[in-house]
Amino acid sequence: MISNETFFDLITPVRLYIGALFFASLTVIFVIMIYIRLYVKKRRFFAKQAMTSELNHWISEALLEETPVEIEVSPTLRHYLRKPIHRQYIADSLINVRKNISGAATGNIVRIYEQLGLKKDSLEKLRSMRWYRRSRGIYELYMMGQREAMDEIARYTNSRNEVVRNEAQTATVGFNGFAGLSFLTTLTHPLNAWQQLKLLEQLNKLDIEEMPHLPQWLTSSNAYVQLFALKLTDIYQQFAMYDLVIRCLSSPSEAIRRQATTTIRRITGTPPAILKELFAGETAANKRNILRQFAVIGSAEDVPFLQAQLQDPDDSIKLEASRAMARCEGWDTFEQMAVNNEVLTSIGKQVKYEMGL
Amino acid sequence: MPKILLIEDDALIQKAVELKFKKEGFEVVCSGDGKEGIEKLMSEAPDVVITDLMLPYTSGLEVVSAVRAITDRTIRIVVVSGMGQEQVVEEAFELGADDYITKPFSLNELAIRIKKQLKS
Amino acid sequence: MMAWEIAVLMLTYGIFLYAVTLLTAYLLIGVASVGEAQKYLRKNEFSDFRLLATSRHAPSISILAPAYNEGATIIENVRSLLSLHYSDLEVVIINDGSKDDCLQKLIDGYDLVKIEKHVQYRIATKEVRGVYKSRKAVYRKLVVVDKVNGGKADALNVGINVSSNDIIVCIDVDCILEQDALLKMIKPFMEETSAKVIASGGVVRIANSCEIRDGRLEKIVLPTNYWARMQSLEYIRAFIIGRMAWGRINGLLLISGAFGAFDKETAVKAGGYDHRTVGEDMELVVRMRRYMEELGQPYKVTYIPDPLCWTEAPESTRILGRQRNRWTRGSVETLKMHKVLFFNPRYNLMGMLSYPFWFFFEMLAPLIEFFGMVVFAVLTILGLINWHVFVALLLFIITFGYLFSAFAAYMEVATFNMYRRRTEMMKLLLTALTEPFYFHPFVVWAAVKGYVDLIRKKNSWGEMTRQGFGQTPAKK
Repeated sequence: MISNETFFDLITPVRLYIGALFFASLTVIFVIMIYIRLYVKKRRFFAKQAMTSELNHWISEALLEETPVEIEVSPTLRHYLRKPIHRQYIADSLINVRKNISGAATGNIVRIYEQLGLKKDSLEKLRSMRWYRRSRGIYELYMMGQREAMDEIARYTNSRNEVVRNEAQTATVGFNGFAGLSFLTTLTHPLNAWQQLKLLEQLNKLDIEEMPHLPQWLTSSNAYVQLFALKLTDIYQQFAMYDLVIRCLSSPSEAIRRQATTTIRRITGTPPAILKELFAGETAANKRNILRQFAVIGSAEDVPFLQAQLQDPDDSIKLEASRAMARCEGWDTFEQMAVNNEVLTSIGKQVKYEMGL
Repeated sequence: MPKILLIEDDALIQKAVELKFKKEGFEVVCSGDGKEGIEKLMSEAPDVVITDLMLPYTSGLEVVSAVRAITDRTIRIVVVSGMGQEQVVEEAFELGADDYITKPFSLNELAIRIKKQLKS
Repeated sequence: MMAWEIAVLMLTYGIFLYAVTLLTAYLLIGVASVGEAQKYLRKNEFSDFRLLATSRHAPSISILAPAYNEGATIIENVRSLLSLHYSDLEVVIINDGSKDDCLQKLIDGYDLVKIEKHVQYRIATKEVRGVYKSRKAVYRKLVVVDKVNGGKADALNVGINVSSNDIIVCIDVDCILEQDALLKMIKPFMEETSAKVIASGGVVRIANSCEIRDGRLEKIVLPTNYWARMQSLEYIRAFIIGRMAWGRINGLLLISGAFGAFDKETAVKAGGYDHRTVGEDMELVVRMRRYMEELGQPYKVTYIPDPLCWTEAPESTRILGRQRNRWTRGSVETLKMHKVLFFNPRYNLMGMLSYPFWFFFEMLAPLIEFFGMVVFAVLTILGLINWHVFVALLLFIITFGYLFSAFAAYMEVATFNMYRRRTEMMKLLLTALTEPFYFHPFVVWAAVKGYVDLIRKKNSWGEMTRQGFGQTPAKK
């Protein structure tokens, strides 16, 4: 039995007061830190404001020059350049220009970047051991078109750190276009959906080129690479990949099967028989997707198959099947089915409405 | 002197485009968001509107439809889109845009397009 | 030793042990939040979110916003939702049988026509009277559903049934979203590779006193009303510290009903919102998690710390009291419905940590505190209080509370820094000083009343009377 005494030994008022004092002092420290932070942020804010209008004007002037010129740095800007935080701000402004404006004029932007020594900063960041500095460095060098850093950056395309890896991949594609995708062959880490989107948008700006490694990617042991390769096959209509895409239709990954279904529609004129075979075992989302493809490439021959799907308990599947039937000369069949069937009648009305009938 | 209403939320890009057109001999009025842009449309009576499609609060599409709602086709509209915005550009055309340019764009090309619009 | 002495001793021990566990938990949570917040900020510092807004490879989203008697502000609210940056978006407004002119205003304001649309009641709901779309191309994203009144949960379920996209974002129609809100919210769904993201929670901030024009936040101001200001601090503490830490270990049980994204298929399979509880937002997350745990599939509930959603907080004790009363009932009901989770290793972290934490430190805390006060009062009357120990203990606990608030305020300044003026920060900190004597006892009392109501089976909604943002005059 613990006695009252031992308990109060443990939490004597004195100890509690000491604890309270400790908490109170920490509180005071945090309050002081709050005000220091606020002060610093405020100063930075005003410095930025003071710098912005001059900087914007200066950069805009440089953009108007068609030919490479030596750009004079005003004393005020020189002053700001001494602080890393302001250097970062200037670098960010230059990057912003590169994001929005293209053409010969941006050559001067890169010149400013180099001239102000910002490139040196970026290289330093690239060589930092901290992931967030390294990824930032890669980003800056790539945005500023610093090709000479390319080899060094390419080493990180399979980095263990996701952010570094993604930036490095973006950079190699940015530098080399389709050829830059070669990192996919050796990629062992995941390629998340966001990164896939980023790469596709980058490629979107370019004219299509050969992708000799595409078959390799489509059969890659890295499911993310496979998925991404299916998207490439889809967007760039790589008809020759037909057999490999068919193989992907039986992948264990739901996402790969779904993408393969979408892709196959883009590279063929008739739905392959295997789609109908796989249909029964598919998830609801994939079933809907398969039916959507029939709506595009299906024909009157597929009507019996589509008709069978009107029995599915999930109305969203019935709906997709009806839409497909409407486009495969199966509307009469549908209307016969819909007689005395409340759900199908309702779906039929929607499909007719959508088609503007 | 032809007058341009430029609606672009990025101050730096706004400045660059403004300087470019001033140099080309245009009068340029700027606005940082769609709502203010529509207000200036009334007061400034520009010949051409250049608007970004992704704007704070009021979208570029709304700007386009506002321009078409209050004027006939005399005011030309050129929309600026980001990459991958094909769908939105299409909608902008449906609503009455005359031309579009994709970011990153070249200032020279933009100037050429604007001049072409003013001739037609 | 006499029986009452043993009782007092046990009690003192119990309360002390409880307090120590609680303080330790808060310390751990505080520490965990720092690294997570830093990582998030660094990772997204130069992310080009805008890419997602228009890319055709971006996932399609449906926003679900139930509206009940919102006629006064509905046009503006919808307008602000339509101006969100996201191309592949459907904005579903569910008119939950409003008694005012909400629907008519929408029809007139957006040139709506009734369309043919088949609705499958995958989740059982009240009847849908009609689905409307606009004739104008600019409003192509808008879908308005008119339904028989059935409460918020029911309206959201109708939204789920009607929506056509795989990710749903459930919001309160009158909250103000930042234009980038969806982009930031959807990114984690795309980034996760090791597990399926079933839900993503956003931050809710207090919009009282902020300057709002046309459904858009023009200037962020610290609330001038005491109760709203106190809630600002409370929300900062909960969102920047609490949820950040829980998000880090994938232990989130609550996603605010005002702003949260869900994987629709999982939500439907788990059964949708439950209209029998007043805490439908928390209940859904718990049920979805439970569903995934029972399925044995890896999943994640993520959390975005950016301040993306702003909402009006109650400014009067009457309405605040009712809100807290409802929250208490909501969490008690939810935890009761899922009591099987309690220290159940089958449910991993959720069973062993999240649920017990909620049970002891969120659900029971007001009761224990209240009980402590009662015991204290009794002991005082009996003259049994050791005042020396009491004062010391009180000071110990109060200063810890202050420390936690100061830490939260520091985290806010170091991360998103919404209140930039020194005077605002000063006001916030001074308000924090009053918390243990004024705000906190009130909130505890409201929660205790929630228990009382629960016992009395009073399941009323605790209607929120809102002023409506449109009427708040913007100050110069």
